Amino acid sequence: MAYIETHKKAPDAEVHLSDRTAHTLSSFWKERPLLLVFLRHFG
Amino acid sequence: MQLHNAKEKFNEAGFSLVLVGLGTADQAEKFRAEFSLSFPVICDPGKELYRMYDLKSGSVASVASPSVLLKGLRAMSMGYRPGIPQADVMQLPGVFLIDTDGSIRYSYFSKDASDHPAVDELLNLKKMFKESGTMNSKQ
Repeated sequence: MAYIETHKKAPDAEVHLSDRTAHTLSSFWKERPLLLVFLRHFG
Repeated sequence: MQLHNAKEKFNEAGFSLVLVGLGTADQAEKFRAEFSLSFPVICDPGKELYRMYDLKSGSVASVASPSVLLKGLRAMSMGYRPGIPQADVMQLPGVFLIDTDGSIRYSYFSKDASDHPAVDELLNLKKMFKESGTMNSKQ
């Protein structure tokens, strides 16, 4: 099973936040390293 | 929520923290309010971002095995309440650390629903990369 590799470029995309604003994912790692945490569920 | 409790430590470590979930904006806002979360929450009900980062759906055993249920009960005994998965109950979680140059420095693909990296392990990443000189920080 293939997994995305470390040291590769992180995939970027337009994302939507809970406040319904749109951002590029890369805007979150421009200034500081980003810890991106994928959850199974909210709560 | 362990991550929220460690928010200041992540901040001191120089990380931005963003969560991604499968639910809708309304579900995410309720979640943010319930836990008083101040960091951004991305809504990805169509799983596009999960697929881009190669996060897989697990088997029944990976979300409901005795060991997973036992860990869930242990978490409940510590005051955490179980959440209800939205969109895909089989979706497995994961964590990535992305440097300011856009490269992935760390990845964690959970083997089952109860498998998460320890907060201390994540906090140590900055130190580890600082020592190896591979993390770019614009602080």
